[in-house]
Amino acid sequence: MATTFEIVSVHPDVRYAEQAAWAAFELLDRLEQELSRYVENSDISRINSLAADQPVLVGLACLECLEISARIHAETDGAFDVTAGRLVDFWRDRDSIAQSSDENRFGVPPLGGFLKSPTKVGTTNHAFHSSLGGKTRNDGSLEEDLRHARRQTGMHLIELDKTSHTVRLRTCGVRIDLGGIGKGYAVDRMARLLLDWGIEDALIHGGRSTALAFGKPARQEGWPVSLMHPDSGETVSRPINLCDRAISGSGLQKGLHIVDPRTGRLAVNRRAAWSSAPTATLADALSTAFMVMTPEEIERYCANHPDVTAVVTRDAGGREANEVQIQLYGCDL
Amino acid sequence: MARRAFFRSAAALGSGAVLTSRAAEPKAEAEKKAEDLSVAMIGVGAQGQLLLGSCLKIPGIRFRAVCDIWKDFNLDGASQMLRAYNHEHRAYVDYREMLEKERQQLNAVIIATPDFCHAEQAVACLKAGLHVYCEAPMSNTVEGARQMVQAAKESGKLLQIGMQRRSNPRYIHCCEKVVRELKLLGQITAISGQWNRSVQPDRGWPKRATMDEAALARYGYPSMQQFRNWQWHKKLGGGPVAEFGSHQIDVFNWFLDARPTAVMAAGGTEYYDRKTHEWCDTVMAILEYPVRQRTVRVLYQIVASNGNLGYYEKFLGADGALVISEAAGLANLFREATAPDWGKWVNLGFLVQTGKRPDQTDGTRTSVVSITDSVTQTHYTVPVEFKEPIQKAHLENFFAAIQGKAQLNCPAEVGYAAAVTASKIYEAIETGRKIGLKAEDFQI
Repeated sequence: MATTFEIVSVHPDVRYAEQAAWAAFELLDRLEQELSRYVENSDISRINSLAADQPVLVGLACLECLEISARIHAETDGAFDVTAGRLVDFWRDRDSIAQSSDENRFGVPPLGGFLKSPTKVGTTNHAFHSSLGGKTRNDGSLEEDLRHARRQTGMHLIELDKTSHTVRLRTCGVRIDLGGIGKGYAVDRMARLLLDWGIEDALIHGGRSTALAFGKPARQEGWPVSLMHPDSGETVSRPINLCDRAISGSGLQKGLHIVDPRTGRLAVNRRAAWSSAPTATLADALSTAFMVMTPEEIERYCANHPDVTAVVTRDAGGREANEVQIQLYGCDL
Repeated sequence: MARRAFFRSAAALGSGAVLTSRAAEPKAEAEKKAEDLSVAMIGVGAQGQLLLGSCLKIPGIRFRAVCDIWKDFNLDGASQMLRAYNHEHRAYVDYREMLEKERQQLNAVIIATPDFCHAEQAVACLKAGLHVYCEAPMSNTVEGARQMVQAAKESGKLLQIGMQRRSNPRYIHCCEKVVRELKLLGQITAISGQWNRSVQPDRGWPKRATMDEAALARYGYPSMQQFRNWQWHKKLGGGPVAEFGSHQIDVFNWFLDARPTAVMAAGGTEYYDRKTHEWCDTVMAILEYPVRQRTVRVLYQIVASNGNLGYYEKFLGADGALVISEAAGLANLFREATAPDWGKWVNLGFLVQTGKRPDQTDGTRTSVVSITDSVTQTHYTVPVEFKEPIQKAHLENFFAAIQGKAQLNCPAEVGYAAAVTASKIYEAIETGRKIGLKAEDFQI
């Protein structure tokens, strides 16, 4: 339980807004129970413990998350891959970084500026990563372990059946990890709930790394947010007025890692990446993918998806550590 | 989970858009496999949706009908979910109409309505010849629970009470193997348990789905506020001792294979508004169980204003302690330093040692003592994985019992014992006296 979700909303009836926020947090609870790899009876854990070719009936949230993940995987040529759990485990175990906090494991939080928001309607502590496991291997078989982990990674290894609501693994040992998309999905679902309650102006964020805003506070053009560099803590963009859009950040912080699922190796291209997209689910997944994609790949992606913006740091060797340069692709923020 | 909300009112804005939705119209009957069970659900609020979600993960279960008085929210939501899973079904607001029209094609009904509805609905379903799974507690009154037991007996139909720990493999292993067969705790002398929850606001509802007062009154609710917060109202809910406590009282009954003979208790509404929270928000109770000519005492608490340590049950015996909780898959065992060695039970796979220091293995000692740093209490857990939603195993047991493949894990009589005990705790609070219980109090 390391990630803080927060809802900031504008509504004339404070009590009503609180009850709506509470209902959204209860939804978040239920989603975590279904989607976290670290909850032993979640749908994701049920899939991860499957033998090969054994179908399992799953909930709508799980199926929807996996369907979206498969689509983004295809659109990013494999740079975003929820089946990379084995690779994540491999690198985590290898470096014994288990002492680090859960929240920092995936290199967040590079977003800032929420506390300046005018109305604050509720907080909760939550995480899609709630435990760490594994031991350090020193037996000289690391390369073989990595090859093995790569063999158990790939969207082609999972089979989704929308008609029967089942998921099947083509080989056992695949570890699905929604760490790169679950927060965004939860934020989108919470937003849908708030809209159903008639809350028309709100900002929701998960761990300050994925935020969605709809409507806007009075006398403002949107919800003011900024992008923060993971190392320096400095703002790397002009203030952004977020409105009816989502923004998400990923980064390497305190020596932690993001794995490139296409190579099995650690992401070294850049220190941080942000994405802005119509949904938090997409923004969350894309900020992870942009960490490992080449500039050319990001440019091509944004050209093909005009509603997406990518912002990445340019980290050339030899530069001063505090000199941060960023590159923007796609539509303006 | 700790939560605190902070507020500051802001600009006034108009109310939300009105959304409408309609229940599904049934289409042609879906192809029905011989082994499929046809079921209906009454009450699809938060708990009902959990049960519905669990059922949808069980192959061979087909929903034919769903019922909830809150059409614009619960009923439409459940119907939408069933449609997504291709369950051809009809949606009803009134359970009597549902029973009349659907009873012929149903095998069973799952009831997850507020407590005061359970007895009437369960009895009607049983009399209609249907098996019933009913959420715990059985009723908000002992009389209601008694009627349910009688109806089950008279109808010959199954009545499973939703105290799902009875089907939790971790609880089953701890009770049947660790406590009863291996007797690893030794003589159990004391038990404690708690159900602590953080402060939470009254439940609200989307404005667009507000029910009109006439409809609420028709189904026994004085207001929308009470409908959404029925747990706190004496005419509607059984209160926290029934709602939460009955699950844990049942664990005490089950593990000790006994019924309490006396209860003492104190409690009150000390945090929430007493006008909107008729039931106690704080309860401290002591239960006495006769076990082999001695008394085992249980210290039990419910605190609705602080979630510290959540909910668990702790058994203390002369040889060891067991702390078990449905939450987070917890089952921890601690061996007393003076207790017989547990190494062989680890070797046989009944326990897993998680502490740093291994026990001496039986029969392999080569020295009287191995000198090392001071010994800490050894910690164990059980090698039982439970990778299913917590209600799913209990529902599967119910469905297997209908098909003649299993015995019910929690038949009505078991639920009744917990209901009687909960009512005696309230009686002790109200009278300020120690209340005795006789064997006949638990009999129908």
